[in-house]
Amino acid sequence: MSGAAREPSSVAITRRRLLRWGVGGTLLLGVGSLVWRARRAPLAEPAWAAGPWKVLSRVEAVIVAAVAARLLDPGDAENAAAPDLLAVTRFFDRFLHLAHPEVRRDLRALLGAFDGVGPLSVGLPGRFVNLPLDEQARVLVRWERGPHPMRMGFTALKQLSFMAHYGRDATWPALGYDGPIVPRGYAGGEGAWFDPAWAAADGDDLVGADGRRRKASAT
Amino acid sequence: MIVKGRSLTKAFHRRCDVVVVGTGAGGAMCARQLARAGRDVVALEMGGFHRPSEFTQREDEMLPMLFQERAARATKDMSVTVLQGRGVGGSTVHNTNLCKRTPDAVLDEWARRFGVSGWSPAEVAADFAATEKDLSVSVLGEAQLNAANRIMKTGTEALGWKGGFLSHNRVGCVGSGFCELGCAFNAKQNALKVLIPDGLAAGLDVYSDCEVTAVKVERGRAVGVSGRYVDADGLPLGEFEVSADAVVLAGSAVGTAALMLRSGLPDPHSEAGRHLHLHPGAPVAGVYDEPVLGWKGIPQSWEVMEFLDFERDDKRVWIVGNFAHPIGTATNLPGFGPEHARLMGEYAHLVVFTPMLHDRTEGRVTVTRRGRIQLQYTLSAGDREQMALGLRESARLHLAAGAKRVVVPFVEPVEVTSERDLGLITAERLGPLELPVLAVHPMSAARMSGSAKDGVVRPDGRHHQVENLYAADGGLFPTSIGVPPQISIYTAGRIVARHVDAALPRAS
Repeated sequence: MSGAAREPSSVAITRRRLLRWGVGGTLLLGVGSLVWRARRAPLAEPAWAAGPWKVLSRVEAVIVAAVAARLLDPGDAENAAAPDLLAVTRFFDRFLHLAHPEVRRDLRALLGAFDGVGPLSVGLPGRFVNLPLDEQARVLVRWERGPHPMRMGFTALKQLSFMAHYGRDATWPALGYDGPIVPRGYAGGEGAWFDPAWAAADGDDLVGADGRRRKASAT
Repeated sequence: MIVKGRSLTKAFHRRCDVVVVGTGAGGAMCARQLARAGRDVVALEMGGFHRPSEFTQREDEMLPMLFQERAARATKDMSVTVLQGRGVGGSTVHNTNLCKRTPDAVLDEWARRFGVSGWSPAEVAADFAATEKDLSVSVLGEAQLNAANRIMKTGTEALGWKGGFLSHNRVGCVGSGFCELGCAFNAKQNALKVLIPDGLAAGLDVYSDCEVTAVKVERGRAVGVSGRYVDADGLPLGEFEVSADAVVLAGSAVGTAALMLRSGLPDPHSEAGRHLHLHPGAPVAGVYDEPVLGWKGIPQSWEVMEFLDFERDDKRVWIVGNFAHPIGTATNLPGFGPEHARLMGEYAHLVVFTPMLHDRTEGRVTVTRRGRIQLQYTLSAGDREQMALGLRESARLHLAAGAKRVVVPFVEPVEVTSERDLGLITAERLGPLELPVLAVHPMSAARMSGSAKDGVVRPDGRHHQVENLYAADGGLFPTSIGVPPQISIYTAGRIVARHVDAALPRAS
């Protein structure tokens, strides 16, 4: 018998492979079952979760708020502003609305996975939004320091939450940050720069579908 | 004139001599030069046209307005945040005005390794000088050091390191410190303030809010572009076409490579999108006893050159001061919850140094089937060693300058209070997402070369496979350049414009 003939074919079912498949399949079914049960667990939905949202579902809005509440919890930090969870959720919704469809799909999948699988990553049943606060923090630490896919998820949630939170004036006094120095509508910088001779013109009166250019009108 | 695409209601078609895609350093310079040469030029910009009065100094408003992907662009594995400009003027609107020429050693390397002719130090010296004159470049001095950069200078001198004042393109700067959110005082001598008005005066037409989605090629020649005009949020409103005798792509290394890929341009050696360099950097925060208020004043006026030697592979780190407003700082500090809030409570006492790599790592720009840009970039072993060196030396600099402690924002943060702790900062810790890594200088993804086998365009900016198609941005650079690239990119726009003009027939 030749050496080649002794090699098992790529589809041959050996006892070891059968055992591996069996154990893997059982684990997968177990995890799937836990996630399924978690997703069916009751969820307290505050009235504001109803939206209106451009992208988020009610459940996703609740998940965003729960995650942001933990990420932005100021604890006993001196004078630190409490998070405005509605504002953070609105920020997520707008970000998703304007994101590339693939980014939107991935982020929404992340929210679902984080809520359903997040607790399992620290050995807890149920969904993230229903965990006690200290357990929620444990889940976040696990995702912050865990395998790369978890870190990616944590990083996305952290960055969006912090972008929403620290853009608010209310968060600045605790930092000693005095904010913008120009008043709204400040036009002092226009000065010599803005020459009406090349003023930007609004409107499609400039170039029509026929490609002909018409007289520009300054705004 | 400038036409705002967001105000258009009908599809349009334009015919011109040259269409330039992108209005940042390379595009604006190229468009202006060609308009001055008497060409009928249209410049297309995917972002908006904004006046200084719109620069509100608020991160929540400016990050979405002035940056690609609402300032959330990152590599595919999210390990590097890539901040790139969007809007008329491109990244020159939000950059911090640093002006350095491409180092001679880098230009020599391009000639030696890639057969790049016409870019020797002697050949480009006049173009660099002309660019610097255009932008009123001058060296800063003591009076322009803010508190954070003064601390950096103190540390540099205490250690006896090589350092110095940076050159900038700013005139009439009031030191408000909001450079990266657009200058409300219009002190930046950038593409938006200098080149676009010059171009308009010479007959240039600029269309903002016009995203190019394809280069049109007929019988091996570029004949124009097509795309869609968009609203203020970047959502599509309608379509347009511009026909031209020559097409210049200047939408940044990332945007140009992505457009080449989306357009399905001939690329027999699969070069488009490859070789991406980023100049990755990471923050090292010193906590000082006294409030520093690091956000006030010019953010980057001093540099450390001790660990940057273009002749050596083991010294590829440039250290510069850096400071961010609250969102930028919060997203880069480690942790979350009360621990993070307490660290943010020390915001006024923070000084941040950033080691930036003259990187050897080569990443890649790709485009998904649905048109999404993806960046792949994983630090090589050699670059991880250099990053670790930069982090250690930045921490040492803080200690020498009097910091009471230094925070290196690894996922499990390293706190340095004495030189003994510097050994905790090792290359082994630098896996993806172990540390916030930032990049603002994408380069090389449509690089020039004398040979089509290892480059997308020729040294004059012409595409190797498609006639009448040029590139004129940082994507040209065959390697990382190791210094802030705006002067090099402006100058590339100037050089490529000259070749485009020479190649086009003159009306008799």
